[in-house]
Amino acid sequence: MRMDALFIFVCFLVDSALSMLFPISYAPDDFIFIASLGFCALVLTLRKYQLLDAVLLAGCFGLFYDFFYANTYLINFILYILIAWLVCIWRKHMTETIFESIILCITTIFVKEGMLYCIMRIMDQTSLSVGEWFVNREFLTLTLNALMVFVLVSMIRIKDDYLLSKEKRIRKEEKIEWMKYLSKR
Amino acid sequence: MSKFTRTQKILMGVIAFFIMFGAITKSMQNGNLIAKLGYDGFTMLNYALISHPAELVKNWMGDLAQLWYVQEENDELREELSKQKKYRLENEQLKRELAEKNALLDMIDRNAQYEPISANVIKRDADGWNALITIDVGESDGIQADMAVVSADGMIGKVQDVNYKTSTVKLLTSEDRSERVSVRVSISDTESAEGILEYYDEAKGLFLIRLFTQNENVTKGMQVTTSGLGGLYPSGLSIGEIASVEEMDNQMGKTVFVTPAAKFDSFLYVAVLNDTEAN
Repeated sequence: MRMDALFIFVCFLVDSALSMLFPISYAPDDFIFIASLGFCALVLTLRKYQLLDAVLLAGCFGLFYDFFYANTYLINFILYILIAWLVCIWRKHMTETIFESIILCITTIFVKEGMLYCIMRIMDQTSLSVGEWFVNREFLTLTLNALMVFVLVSMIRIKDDYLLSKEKRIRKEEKIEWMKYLSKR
Repeated sequence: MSKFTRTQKILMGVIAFFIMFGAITKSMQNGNLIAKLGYDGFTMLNYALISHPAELVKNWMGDLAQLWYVQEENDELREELSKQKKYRLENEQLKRELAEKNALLDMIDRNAQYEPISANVIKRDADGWNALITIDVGESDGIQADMAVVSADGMIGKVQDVNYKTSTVKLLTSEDRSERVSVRVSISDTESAEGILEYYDEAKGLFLIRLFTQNENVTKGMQVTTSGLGGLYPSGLSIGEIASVEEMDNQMGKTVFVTPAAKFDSFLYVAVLNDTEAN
């Protein structure tokens, strides 16, 4: 889990770099792109975990996003936990192909952004209509994040392969140690 | 046996701690202390380690891409710069022409009774610099021989030969002394002195005029114009200004040297005066 958490943290940092390269425009009619590489990495990682681990990991990163990115209190914490719960429900019906990974990421980004939009509308912090929200904020975000998921899935597979090979090495060393122990007997 | 693993307990503890601490600080003062401190610190670190380097890379890539256009831009600017001198000279030339044309228009207005015909100087002989010029009006424009020709500043000569579309003009500075110009010196509104323009002194750059009078009132600075006597030229055309006065030895009259009103070294636009009485 530590390696997964570190990987997700690095993806959030990459989001910071991407937000510098694609700065958000505050003009109402402009299209904006919100980099969600960290969120996608979180969602793709949560698939492997049980419900409690997934919820706790998502909660931690939600708090992290609240305090260090969005400067809010518990909004993203709650949203991330809800998303983790949804992913744990859906994962039973999914495989780990790239196509399904893209669909999962787009859907979770859409759900998260949609819930955030509803909260902003309820708290009267935005007057964007649904159409404007979808066209100006979501369209470009979903499209470009879908493209980035290709890269992300490859990176996750490389990371998993690395962890697997590391574990195999450990197991192999344990086996050798056990053989040595047996031979001494 | 515990229901939770060690990792789960740690995560739960961290979450609970941050939630409680955030709630306490939020209730104690405006805003969330952890959020403020964490946000400030993380934002600065994020900027220093991620955003600023990313921005530098982005700017560097942009500058690198721009280098390809710098050469092209340099070439264009160099070409523009080389043309700038030419444009300046053309501009000055156009200004001079405009000034000359405006002055000629004023002169035409002053001599409207003579029905002036505007013309361009299209040729000057380099050898006979002071002798002949060719203008771009001729018989088809109503030009006749012996018509007076003036520039914006004053009289310059008379039409010598007329072709269908061009004419040659003999300048007052010509060495040919067969035809002399009758002139008048304006001493005052009621007094004047008559004389003859003898020739143009190239060495001094002045007209030599012989006056028929010993009038002591003729002094430097007085205006000299055509008198209209002799029937060749209309009267009132400016010849120049008296530069110096000399007494003639053993003869009646005075000799005056006159600075030409017209600039004979350079003029592009002239007018031919159609004085039917003189012609």
